[in-house]
Amino acid sequence: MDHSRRGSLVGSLFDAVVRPSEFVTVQEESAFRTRVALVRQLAGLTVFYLWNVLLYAAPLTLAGIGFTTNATAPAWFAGLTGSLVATPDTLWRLTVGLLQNSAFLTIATAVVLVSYHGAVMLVAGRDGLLKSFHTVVYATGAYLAALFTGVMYLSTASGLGAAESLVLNLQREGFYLVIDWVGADVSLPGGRPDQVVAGAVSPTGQMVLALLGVASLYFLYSLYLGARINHGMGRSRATAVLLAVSMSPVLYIGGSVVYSTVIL
Amino acid sequence: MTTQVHHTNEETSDGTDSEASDEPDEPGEPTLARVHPSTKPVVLRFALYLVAGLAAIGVFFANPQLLGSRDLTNVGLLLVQILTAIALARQAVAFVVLRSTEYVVTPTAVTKRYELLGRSETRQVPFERVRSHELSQSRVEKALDHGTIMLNQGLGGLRLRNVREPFDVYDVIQRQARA
Repeated sequence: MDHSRRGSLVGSLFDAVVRPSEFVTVQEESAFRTRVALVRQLAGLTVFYLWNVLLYAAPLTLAGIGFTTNATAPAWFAGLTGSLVATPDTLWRLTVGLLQNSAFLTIATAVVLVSYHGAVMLVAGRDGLLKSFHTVVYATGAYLAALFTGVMYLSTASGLGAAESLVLNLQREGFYLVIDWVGADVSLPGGRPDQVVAGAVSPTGQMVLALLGVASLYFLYSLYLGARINHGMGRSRATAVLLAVSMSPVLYIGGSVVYSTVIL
Repeated sequence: MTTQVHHTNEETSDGTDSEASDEPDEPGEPTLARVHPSTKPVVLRFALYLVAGLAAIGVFFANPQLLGSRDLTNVGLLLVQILTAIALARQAVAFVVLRSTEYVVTPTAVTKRYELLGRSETRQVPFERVRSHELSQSRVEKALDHGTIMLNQGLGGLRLRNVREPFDVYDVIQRQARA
């Protein structure tokens, strides 16, 4: 097995784009042999994941997204950091902004981990939660974070309104596909989109949409590679895992429809 | 479809650290086989991806309304262009890596060495830690009389890709693994 160059950011980026199999592969089997090694591996993966979340959330926060300019720090926070920084309020706003911007990616990672490992258990009936965690941490830390960054860029940059509405309309169409399939009498706020492409998409918008497509494909491919390499599955089983993971948004939408029609 | 010759050696699996190590082979050891992997399959894949990518790009250019609107078709075209560029870049990197890779079989270990951007890497599996070995040939490899030899299938294994005359090399490895 070749070494992955995860020691450097450039090396990781290179592997993520050019050698995704090296990127998601668990490098050493000995990491799973003893309890101490397992804990060490888990701690390493968690730190790696948090670092990636920070890399994702920090630029967004510094760009002013999720940065609430008028919030003041609570007394306990001001007391805790008052001796360290001159303006605890600014540090508080920065911290809240970072947490808000990290929340979506963290929730998405948890959802992917549950659906991915559930699919692995269902298809192959084997354990290996840490191997699933490894795969999901690398897949979401790189490709899903890139996907979220792209969507965030679409929603905040000027002149990309048509591209943004296209993404939103595609999501709405996905919801209505399930709603129509179930035959439920519900509708989304704003109703069904008249057309998916609402207006001319600028060249920059087209490029961002294409990059979102690439990031999505990489994300799915990395999960497939994780099933193949880390869990030792054949092509058909790994494809079944991928299909099961791809079905999780359908389950989410279906659950939302049932919740809004039966429970509410 | 792949052709496979597989062997599992449970006796040598002692449950300890059996993955490839990074240590170079012993100095002064005789070399039983020294192989440079073939780059032909990579060149073939490069050509295949290039042709397929250009064909897909041509289809998008010829049908501006392929995805329902000109804008969406442009997005599809950009997507195909990016994926083609990445696929070609991957094969180019694989070509460079394979060109500087060598597989060495000594009486005590199988070693794989390669250099990439001035950085050399070595992976080694000592025969005493080989618990399984396998020779497989994809359709392309079979047509070219190449093969892939895998030591210790799964995590921590060593994969020797695109080995020329693979049965000869595999024979040497089998003999040493049995010794």
